[in-house]
Amino acid sequence: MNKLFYLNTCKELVLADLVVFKQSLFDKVIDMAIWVVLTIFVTGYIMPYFGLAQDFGPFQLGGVIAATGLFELYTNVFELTADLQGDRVINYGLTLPIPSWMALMSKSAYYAITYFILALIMLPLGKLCLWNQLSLSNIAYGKLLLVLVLQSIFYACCVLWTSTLIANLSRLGTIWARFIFPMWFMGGFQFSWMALYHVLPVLAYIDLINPMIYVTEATRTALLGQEGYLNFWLCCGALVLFSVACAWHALKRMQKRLDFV
Amino acid sequence: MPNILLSLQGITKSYATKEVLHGISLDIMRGEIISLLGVNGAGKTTLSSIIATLHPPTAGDIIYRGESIYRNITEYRLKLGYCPQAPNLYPNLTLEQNLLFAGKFYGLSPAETQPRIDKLAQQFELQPYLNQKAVVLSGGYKQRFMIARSLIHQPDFIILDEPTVGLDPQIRRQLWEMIKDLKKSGITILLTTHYLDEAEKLSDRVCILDQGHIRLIDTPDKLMADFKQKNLEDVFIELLKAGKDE
Repeated sequence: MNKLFYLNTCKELVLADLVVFKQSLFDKVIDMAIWVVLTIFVTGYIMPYFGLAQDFGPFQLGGVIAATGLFELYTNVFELTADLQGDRVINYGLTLPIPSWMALMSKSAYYAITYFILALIMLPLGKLCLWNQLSLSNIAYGKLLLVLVLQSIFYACCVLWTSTLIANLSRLGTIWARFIFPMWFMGGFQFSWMALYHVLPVLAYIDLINPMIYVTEATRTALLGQEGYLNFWLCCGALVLFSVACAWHALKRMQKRLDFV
Repeated sequence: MPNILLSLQGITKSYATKEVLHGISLDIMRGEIISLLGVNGAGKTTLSSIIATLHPPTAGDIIYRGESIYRNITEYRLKLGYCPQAPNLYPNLTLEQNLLFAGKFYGLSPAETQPRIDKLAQQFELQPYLNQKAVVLSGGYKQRFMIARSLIHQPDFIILDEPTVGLDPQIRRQLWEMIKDLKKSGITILLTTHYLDEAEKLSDRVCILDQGHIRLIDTPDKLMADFKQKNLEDVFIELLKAGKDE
């Protein structure tokens, strides 16, 4: 059996999941659109009347694009945990003629593709909401694509890892309270790392262990320019490191949980 | 022996500090239906899932065609069909999509898979449901579909883990006929069940597991003759009584 055969099987596993995803894509886009439109409307048009900077709308769009995968991650952790508790469709992949870890990575690849698609849709939605406030010609599209790919891979690895943290669905609230909410709220969704550094330098340094800060900073750099944000390439490097660590640890924990060969 | 398809050698399985399989050794012959029998917790599903490579054994080996399956597990998986107790299909794909993808997972092109889908759909009476989503199927049809899916790549042998559990008697009998037809086509079948009538009707040999040990392996007729009982259920009860007395 050659590697090409394995890759082909993995590709088909991803495609099977994508066929299912396609069925719910419209609903997902509507759900996301409600979130984006309301967030941008409030931060871009209402909050400036309360003293917030006039360009806070585009700044917030960076946070929204960065957080899209994080919120979708929560849904996927729910689905994966339910599956592990129930029918274990995931076990089917573990009996196919590919190494078991590849079956799990195929699942991650599927998650990454869906996060990428959803995050990508946020940009035109954001432009429609912000209109003149966001200049499309100032966006570094190459950088934006790169950070979207990297953040999607990171969140996808996170799904597997996070799913191993809880034994059953009744503990899902714990994941939100102890993991996703702090990661999101301290991940620069509403502020930049530099702003945090000026107010609380110690907390800013501690926040560097939060992978989401790199996602938001890199996304904003791509959308609005480098000034005022962490170095784009540093953020990309950090995301690669977090993704590798997360995938490696997720596989170790999944092996223990699923006891696969 | 040339007739041995699979040889289990000292399979042991432990979870934390509890050993659930204690050095199981068993030969599975080419073309036979062998049933694993036992009460809940006897180790049937654990053993079948180890043979299906879903879980590794703590100790021991499985020899297929003279070689440990763990030396090239993906080659072994190509020859194996596994039908687990819980139907782990893609609920939001149609049956046809499920089968097409199942073929692709084993490296088959749609052109190769389609005739097999047609044949399996006819064999398992699934034609009216091919374009329906798997989620709407009844338990009996889900089970038929699961067996059909496990055969899509024409495996040497299949593992059916409690294939008729929870089904109506009429559906169970229909599935029995289908399993007998599979044997006629030359496929080796490992069946785990706790329905003793099912094992008696279908099996060439039965292997009775008790608390992770093999208590007996023989043909149903031989067991009934040895224990002077009319059916396998009485043999099983005798055996359990004897086990408690020991």
